[in-house]
Amino acid sequence: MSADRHITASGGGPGLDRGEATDVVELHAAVLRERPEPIEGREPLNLWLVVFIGVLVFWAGSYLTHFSGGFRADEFSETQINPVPPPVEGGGGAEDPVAKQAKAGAIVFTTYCQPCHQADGNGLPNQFPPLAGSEWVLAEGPNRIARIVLNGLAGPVKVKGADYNNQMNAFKDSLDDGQIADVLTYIRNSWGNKASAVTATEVAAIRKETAAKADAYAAAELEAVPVKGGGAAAGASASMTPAQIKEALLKLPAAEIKALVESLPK
Amino acid sequence: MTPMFLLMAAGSLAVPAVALWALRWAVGHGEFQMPERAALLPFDEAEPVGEATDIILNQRTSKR
Amino acid sequence: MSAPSKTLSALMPGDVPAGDGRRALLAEIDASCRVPVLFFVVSGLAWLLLGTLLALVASIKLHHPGFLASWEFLTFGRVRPAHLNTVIYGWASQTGIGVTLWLMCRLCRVPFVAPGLATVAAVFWNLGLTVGTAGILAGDSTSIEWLEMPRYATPILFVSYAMIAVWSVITFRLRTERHLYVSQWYLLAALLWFPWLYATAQIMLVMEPVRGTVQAAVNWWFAHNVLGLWFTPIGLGAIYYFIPKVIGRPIHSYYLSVLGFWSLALFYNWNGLHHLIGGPLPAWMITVSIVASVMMLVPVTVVAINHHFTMWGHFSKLWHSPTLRFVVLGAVCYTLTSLQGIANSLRSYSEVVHFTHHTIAHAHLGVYGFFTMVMFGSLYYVLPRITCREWPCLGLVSVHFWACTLGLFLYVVPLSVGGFLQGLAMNDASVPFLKVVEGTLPWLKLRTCAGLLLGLGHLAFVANVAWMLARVFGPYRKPVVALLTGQETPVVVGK
Repeated sequence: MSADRHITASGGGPGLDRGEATDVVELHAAVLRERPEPIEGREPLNLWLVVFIGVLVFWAGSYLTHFSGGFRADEFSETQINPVPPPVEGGGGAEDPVAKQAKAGAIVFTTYCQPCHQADGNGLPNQFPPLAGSEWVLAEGPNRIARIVLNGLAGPVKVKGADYNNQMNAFKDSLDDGQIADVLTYIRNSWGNKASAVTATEVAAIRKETAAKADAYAAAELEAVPVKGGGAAAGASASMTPAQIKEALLKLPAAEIKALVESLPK
Repeated sequence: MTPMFLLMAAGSLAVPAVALWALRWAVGHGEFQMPERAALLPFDEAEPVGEATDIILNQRTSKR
Repeated sequence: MSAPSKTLSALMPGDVPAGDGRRALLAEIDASCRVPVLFFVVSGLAWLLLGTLLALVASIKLHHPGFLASWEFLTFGRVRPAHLNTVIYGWASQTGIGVTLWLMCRLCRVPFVAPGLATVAAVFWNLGLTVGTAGILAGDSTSIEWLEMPRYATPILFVSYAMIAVWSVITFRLRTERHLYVSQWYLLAALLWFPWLYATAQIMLVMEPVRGTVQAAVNWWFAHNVLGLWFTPIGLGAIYYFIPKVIGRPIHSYYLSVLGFWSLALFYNWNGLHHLIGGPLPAWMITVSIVASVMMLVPVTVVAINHHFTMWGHFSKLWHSPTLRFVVLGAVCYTLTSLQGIANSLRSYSEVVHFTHHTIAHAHLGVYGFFTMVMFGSLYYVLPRITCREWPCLGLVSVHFWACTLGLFLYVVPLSVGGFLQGLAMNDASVPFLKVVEGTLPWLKLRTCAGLLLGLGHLAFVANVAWMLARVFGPYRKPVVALLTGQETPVVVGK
């Protein structure tokens, strides 16, 4: 636009007699007079553009403030901030056995579990289920959760009302009973979770019961396992009616029934 | 590793430093003084404003 | 001071007799660019053909996995990185450098300085690239995305790059035009940014690899910035020169163009990490990257407004100028791909399109729709001037344009939609993964068709260029056409 004005101005104006104007500065001055006001060329930015940029900057500031996890190196979720870096509760006393176990479990967790379930125990939406507040983790006894860690979990599972469908590895061969007990105690007592500690003896018993099972558990199989007690048989005999025991036994995976039968007193 | 890290850090500082220096140079040099003149830089007497320079397609009826 | 008289003549073209001196300078600059620029451009075109071929092989393999599978060097894991490296470093970078050299000479108003240096740089670049591509196909890939070329190839590229950098500094120092045009801002910045990006990534990922998730962060920082701080500034620099030049009208607002440049420089560098949304990185790194991506609305809007208002009232010229067609198409694609990229960087949107073909469509809209189209347009302007020959066949120009445009459309639109649907299916826990893979097949087949169309366009363009070069160097020399005057007068060019 401005160029068109320039051309019109020079064409319609008095023009320059190049023969007369020998002085370069004088020549230049004449041109300057003919050009539109210099202010035209440097007209300020469009008001709407300035408003637009202002809104963007405002949004940027508020988004940065709210979703940066406090700019901490150990905060991986934009929506919440961990109050304490290593969320081991009751960390005051080294003599507190639960805290001691959880401390050891935190190291196991960082190595084997954190890549999927995340440092904040919230997992990843649609991919890896949360441990924080999970009904599987917080069950009264460690029967089901220990089985998941030992053999892995495959296929659809419902956690805190959300569906997940993925594959978790078996840790039977990489972790010993003590380590599994530690990490279970850790996840049952972190991120606001509060549940009983798990002992290596309990894990050893469950490992024995599941020794014959080679593949990963499905959620439905696990639901047949009682939450508490020294294994399926003990759990069944403790609090169930005969009909319930029969039903539970029928749902058990074949491998566990075999293990159960073999463990019966001769 | 440490010398490499220092090199990276120095590089990351050098780039904004060069940018600031360039901005200062441009302001001092009057680069932002006459925007209407700067916009005319691609043009000169040989190829002035107002003259299209790459009209070659669909010209058969009018030109050749 | 000579600068004011230049302003004067530019303001009043009618009063000043056609400056034969200026015309002679233009002709001299163009002719001096001939050998080095042609070297970069012609080898770039050769890599483009090879890259297109590799792309087709890779694309067919995605829906017919058995295709050419008996040769180890043609397996997908090698063909795909070979495609990426040939088109990025062979075609896009080389042609970009060629166009940059020409634009720098023209805007600095200085004939090509040290053409030997630039030509040797081109030789080294092609040497490094040949070694690198052969290394990838032989199985020596570093397996780091965008940096697949083995470590024995990259130093050669770096030597070549250093020569180009030295050349640009010399040219800039010898300039006879004191003031900088906005294109020069973009080009000089690109020449500064690229070695920084490349050296940093090369050292931190290949030479002295950093550990853990930092690798992913550096990798995405690099890969995303090659687009934004190397191709984007070269492409925008070319657009800012060619649109005003072709339609004969200065840019709408020079202030806006300066704002666009500096906001790009400020925000782009932070963008790359939005590719790692959901990954195990501290939340603030990703959040900062998202904010910077959204702030890219500033340069993108500013550039779009500026180009649109410059073109206002001149859209009919699109019918007549191949340069304008390609460059304006490229400018439109720049706006589109930027907006798409900003959307992709948002957490809720990224959760769907991440890890899908949507990202591939987005990358092609950027590198092909924007950068490659702008480069085609630039070559339609540059080549006739440095060879002093007209385009031999205008029919081929039309074939090139329509095949590439349709091919691009057929590539980007279906793959964007298909990728989005793929993402929705992947997020649905009840859909088995294999079903999701099967669902992408129709879109992948469409992509192969699009690739064939693009290949046809490339062949048409290469044929036209070869024909033109045959008139310069071949046995059927045609008389020189002085493009600037339109008269068929012999103009002495070269030495």
